[in-house]
Amino acid sequence: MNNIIIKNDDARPEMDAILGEFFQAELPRQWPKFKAPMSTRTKEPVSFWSRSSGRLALAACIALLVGGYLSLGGFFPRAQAPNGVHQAAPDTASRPERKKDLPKTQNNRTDDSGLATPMDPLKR
Amino acid sequence: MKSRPKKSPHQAAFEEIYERHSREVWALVYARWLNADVALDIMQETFLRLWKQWQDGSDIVNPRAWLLRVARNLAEDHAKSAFRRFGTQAPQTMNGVEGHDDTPLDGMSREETFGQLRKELEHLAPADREILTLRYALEYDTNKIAEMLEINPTAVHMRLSRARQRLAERLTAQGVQGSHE
Repeated sequence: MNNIIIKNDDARPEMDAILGEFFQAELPRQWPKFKAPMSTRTKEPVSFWSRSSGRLALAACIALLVGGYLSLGGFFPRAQAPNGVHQAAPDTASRPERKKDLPKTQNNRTDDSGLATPMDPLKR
Repeated sequence: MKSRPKKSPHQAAFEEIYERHSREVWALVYARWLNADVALDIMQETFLRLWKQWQDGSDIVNPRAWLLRVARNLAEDHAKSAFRRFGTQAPQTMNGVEGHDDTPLDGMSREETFGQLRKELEHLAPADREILTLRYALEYDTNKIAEMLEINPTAVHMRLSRARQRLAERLTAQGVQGSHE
């Protein structure tokens, strides 16, 4: 360890000079000043139209749809249903109920008295 | 005559921090890369990030420690990107700064001596380069280096001595005059 320090002491003045010159040459000659960057997040006043144009367009679309529906509806005649409701076309959704004819089965047979006898033995 | 716009106290405080610590940040990155331009870029990027933190209202208790930590991280990130660009070669070896070993060294110019010194500095440990940069670029004394790196002044002295001696031996072996008696 001592040997290293003694050798270093020998080298020190020369090395000091070389290192000092080298590192000083590496330092930027003119140290840059800090310039605060311009803020990119400045709030600009937003105009009424750019703020609410989307909403206005949506409102206009809805108004057009409703207006179109009402104006087109006026062109077609309406039929009056018996219940007093105007009908543009016959109501196919409500059909009159049909009587269902039940198939005659053995259980449905009646005897002479007219009472159903499901367990009635076969007549010969 | 137009008067200059007044600086806000916020900006004035920031500029004070810049004046106080920017050289240390530069030295730290320079010691890592031995490239003054890269160190300058990373130093500016580091302060830009601190500025943004201030703008966002972040409370940084110790700006110096914050700056040094971010600068170290950025220097390491640069190492990764440099690896992508240059492979395993250091950037200095790719732009012809270094000469060949068989160059006659007796008549070396100052630039050639510096080139040789740079090459030898690359062989030192980054911690040793850091101490040398602080000592010779910023002209810090042992105590100030110890304070900055949070190590014992004796350790700083030992590292300085060893680094100088190692460099002297290597430069002497290369035939650089004035490196050793």
